Amino acid sequence: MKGIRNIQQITRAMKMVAAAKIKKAETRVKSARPYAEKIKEVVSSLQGAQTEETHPLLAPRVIHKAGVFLISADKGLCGAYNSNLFRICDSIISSRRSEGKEVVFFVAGQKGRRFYSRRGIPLSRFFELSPLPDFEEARQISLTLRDSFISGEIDSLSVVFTRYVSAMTQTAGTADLLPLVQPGADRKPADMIFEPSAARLLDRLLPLFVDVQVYTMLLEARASELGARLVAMGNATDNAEKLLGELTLKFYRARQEAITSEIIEVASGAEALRQ
Amino acid sequence: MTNSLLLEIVTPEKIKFSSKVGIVLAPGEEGYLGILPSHAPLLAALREGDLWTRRDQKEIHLAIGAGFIQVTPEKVIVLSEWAERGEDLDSAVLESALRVHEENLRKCTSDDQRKELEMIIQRTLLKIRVSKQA
Repeated sequence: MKGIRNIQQITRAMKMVAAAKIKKAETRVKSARPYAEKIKEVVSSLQGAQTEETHPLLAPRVIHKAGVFLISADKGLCGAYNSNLFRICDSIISSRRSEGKEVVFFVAGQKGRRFYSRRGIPLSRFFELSPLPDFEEARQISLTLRDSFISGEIDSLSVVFTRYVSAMTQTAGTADLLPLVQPGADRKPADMIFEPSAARLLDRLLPLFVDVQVYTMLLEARASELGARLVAMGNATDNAEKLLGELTLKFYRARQEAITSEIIEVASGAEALRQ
Repeated sequence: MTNSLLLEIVTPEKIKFSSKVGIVLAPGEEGYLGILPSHAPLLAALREGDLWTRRDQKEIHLAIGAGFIQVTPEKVIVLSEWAERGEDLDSAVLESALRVHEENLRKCTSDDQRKELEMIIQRTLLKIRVSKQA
């Protein structure tokens, strides 16, 4: 009983910690959204104007080597958060392999690394994540991913991560990051002045666009992890409560039984003496 | 025709500034861009530098990182890696930071490090300049 009470204390503490952190992560997610949307808007306004050859980040290729980037958590104790990701990741890997493509695997988060190294799936690169990733960190990761795409180490990139809906709901899913899908390519060309030229602007914008996407994905993943932990630890605390109730009842019953039998013994002993 | 435009300065971390203003002067990659209401649609690259704007006769100075500016007749969106308002910057703190960076630069040996420090020093100088304008 003491053990369970201790566990309950720990789970409750973890719940509180997650609740405190999630606020921060959620604000980050929300404040990163406008930038991401604006970038998208600007990119799509450039799409209309650009007529020359397609930018390397946009160009679709024949896919021989499919890149998969998994964003998992560093720690467990967050319910099905990691296992949901692994399930999706497994299905992607096996479907890519069945199509005859080579899978190049990138992972962020210790859990993902451990899980797949046990399964013997080779890891191309591992990214360490800080508790609350900032833009600079996301940019480093994004740069690595972009470079491997440009250099031909991978021909496409899918990201497996958890989308943040609310503290209670998160959905694990995938998103195709590279080659970039042209956002709103069917738009009519905007009548706009470009300085410098549209092509050169695109050169600078597209990498940034990828960076921002990676950044929002990392943030969403982290917020989701905290949300999942909040729920999991809430459940654990409740379970501990229930278990504690049951055990307390059992304990009282056992004690009562012992007392009763002792009384009977004393009583029958006294009875025997009297006779 | 309106005589004001909405200026929004957005960084990956947050919306740094959003307000109606009368004029914007932004550090374009190929020279400063002055933007008044009803400007022709424009998309331009920005370099790291100082951005100046005026709201109700009050001048506002900002230091911004490299990025982009999108102009429509009634709206200006600045997308920048970072942005700081001059009034939020403390020149005394920045100057002591500058001295530390300069000291580090003197001691530094590798080329990469030197480049990075030089960039930081440039940025600090920019912030000091902007903080003094505010």
